[in-house]
Amino acid sequence: MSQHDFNIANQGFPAFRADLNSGLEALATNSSGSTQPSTTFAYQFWYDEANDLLKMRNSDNDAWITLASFDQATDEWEVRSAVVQAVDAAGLSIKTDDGTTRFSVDDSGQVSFENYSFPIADGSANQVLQTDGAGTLVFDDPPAGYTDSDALDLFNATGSAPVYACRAWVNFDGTGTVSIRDSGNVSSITDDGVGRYEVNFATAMPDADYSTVAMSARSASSEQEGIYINQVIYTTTKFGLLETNGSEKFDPSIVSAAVFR
Amino acid sequence: MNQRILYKTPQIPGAEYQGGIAVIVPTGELSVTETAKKDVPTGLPYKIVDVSDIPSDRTFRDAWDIEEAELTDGVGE
Repeated sequence: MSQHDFNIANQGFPAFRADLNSGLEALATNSSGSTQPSTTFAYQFWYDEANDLLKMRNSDNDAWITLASFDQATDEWEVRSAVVQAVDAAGLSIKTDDGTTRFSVDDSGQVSFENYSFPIADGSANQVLQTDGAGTLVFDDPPAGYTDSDALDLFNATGSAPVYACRAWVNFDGTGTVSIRDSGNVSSITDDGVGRYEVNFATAMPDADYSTVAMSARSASSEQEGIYINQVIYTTTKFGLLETNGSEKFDPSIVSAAVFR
Repeated sequence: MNQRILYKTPQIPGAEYQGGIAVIVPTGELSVTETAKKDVPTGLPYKIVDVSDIPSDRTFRDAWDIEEAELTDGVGE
């Protein structure tokens, strides 16, 4: 800490020399101290040791302007200002310690990161920022959404009739230890007894007006009639199936069902 | 899925089928517990068992039964 009023008083030689040295030390140390110098001058520097801030006296000599903050433990410093202005037309850059420019603002106002640049002008309403893949971002209309035609192409469908996709399906073995071969949007099947099953949706249907297609394997040794929807179990969350063999129920080795809505 | 979920089918007056055990076979799309809570009818207690505990002989499937006291793993939601 060294501060001085920068006024050399009339005095004897030894005192003059000490006074002068004290003033020079204050100049060399930017009048550092934990409190501001008792005598201040316009444009004077002061290193505020209490807050590790370098300040400069304003031209009216009635306030301090903070220039920078210092971390004396790590020997780093930060600019303290609401505004940073480029000194010339080269604009502003931020570089990493290897000298690579990671961020810049050029004189036209274009903001660039290392690998891409943002447009200067705003786009139109609802436009989105798109890249050309070569480092230039532009505002442009968003890509068109999928159309019915795209959906038909996706399903290799010809003609213009709409496509309604399967919303749930399952293939299971109803014999022995009942097991599911594979499924989609089905959380489980419920084995209610011989020839009686429920298919439980993982995600419910929007209503119970969906269409169910079910088939089952025919046993070579039985007069199996076929598989039916159990009309008392047909909700948004599940549907029931009945497999009959004459008046008896029957466990088929393959039950497959698909739901459309 | 090597686990099954058991619950007792409720007695429903007038229904074609009454009582017995329902065996839920999870697909694995949800966890067993999630499946049990979702697919067991609301309020009915259930038991989660290993698939090896389920008889593979279904000759008397409709006569299978379980003590209510054994259904201790949760209740359908």
